[in-house]
Amino acid sequence: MFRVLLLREIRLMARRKSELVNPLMFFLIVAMLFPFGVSPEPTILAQLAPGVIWVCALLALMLSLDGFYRDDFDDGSLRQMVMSGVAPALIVLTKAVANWLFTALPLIIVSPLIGVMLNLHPSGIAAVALTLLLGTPAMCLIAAIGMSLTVGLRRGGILLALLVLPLYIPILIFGAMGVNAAAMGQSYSGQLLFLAAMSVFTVSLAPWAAGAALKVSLGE
Amino acid sequence: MYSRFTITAQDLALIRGDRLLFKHCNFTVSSGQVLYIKGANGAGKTSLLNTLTGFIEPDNGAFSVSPENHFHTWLTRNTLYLGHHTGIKSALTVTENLAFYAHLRGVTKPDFTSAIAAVGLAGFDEQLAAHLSQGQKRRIALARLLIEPVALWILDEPLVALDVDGQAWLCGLIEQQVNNGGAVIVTSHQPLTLNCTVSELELAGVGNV
Repeated sequence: MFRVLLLREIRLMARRKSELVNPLMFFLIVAMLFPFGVSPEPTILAQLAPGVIWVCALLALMLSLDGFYRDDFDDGSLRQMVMSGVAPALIVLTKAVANWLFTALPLIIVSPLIGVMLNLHPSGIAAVALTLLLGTPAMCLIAAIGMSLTVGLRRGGILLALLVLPLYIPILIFGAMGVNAAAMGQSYSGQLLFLAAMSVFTVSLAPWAAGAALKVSLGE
Repeated sequence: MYSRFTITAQDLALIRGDRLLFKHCNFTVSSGQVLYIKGANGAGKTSLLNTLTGFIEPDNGAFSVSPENHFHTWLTRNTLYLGHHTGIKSALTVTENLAFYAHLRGVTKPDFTSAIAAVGLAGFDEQLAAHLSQGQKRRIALARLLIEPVALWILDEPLVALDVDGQAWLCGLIEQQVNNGGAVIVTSHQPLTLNCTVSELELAGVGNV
């Protein structure tokens, strides 16, 4: 069942490639604007880099959310899936996995490049990709709860941000802190473990919460 | 063909916002029957169907199905619901749309080509649904009725966007389902001409049975 659902997401994504590129371009462009806006001074950039990369990745991820649920809600697909006997939690989990594969993974892959561009210390480059790799699954699943709650509302965009962003803050803090520590040559395994714990926690619990929320939204 | 069943709704009541849509609403549907739900716009037909399919909790009353125990488990396994939004993806081809739902239902060896031909879309198998008209998209959804063998069809305004031939064809299909021992719950503003037993349920505002 999961395979069927995921194949459908992949097929749909392959037919609208622009949505695949949008978050990635946003990430690259915003990160690239910082040296112009703040200062091209390498030492200042190196200091800003961990936070900038993490904030840009977080916003790029938020940008992609709407398309994942809204279309399927509007054309009745979500309801048809539930009526075909798919557990709402499984639908949500598939959506979150697809979101991670199509949005977060490209960001993770280009993030070392941004690190180099912002003059991040070489020892921090790997940490950027690693912290994002462990932190983004939690962000995708938290977003899934928010989307499931707001998908039935006409203009749920701001509400979604209000719901989801506070929950992103711990992930952002530990992610950026991990990169900072790595750039200063310290151990950052504590931060990595925290991010991994967040991801495990959300993978195991968020689908149920989001599934219940989805069921409520479908009744509206 | 389908095993016998009876669905019973007992003393349903539903409030949406501050409006009482219906109360003391009772009905039964058994194998071989059509239930035709009538009512003006806003009378609560779709809400009643949403309650039946479990998307809205009724404010009073409950559904049951005999001889099974768990109504909603039975329902998701044995029901095909086609509402205003049909769940047909514009970005997928006609066959891909049908194959997705057939997979979810676990249909073995579905015959898409003949089902697509039966709904009058022969030759459109590999066309993207986005290239088809509203009526044709509805026909894709109706093709699911031929592919997925389920006992209960819940059709919310199935005649909308269908041409005259399509409407006659669908009425024939409903008769066939009933003759096979299935059941159909249908709402429609257009008259349905059916050669089988049709029980009617009229939703006429507050306090109606």
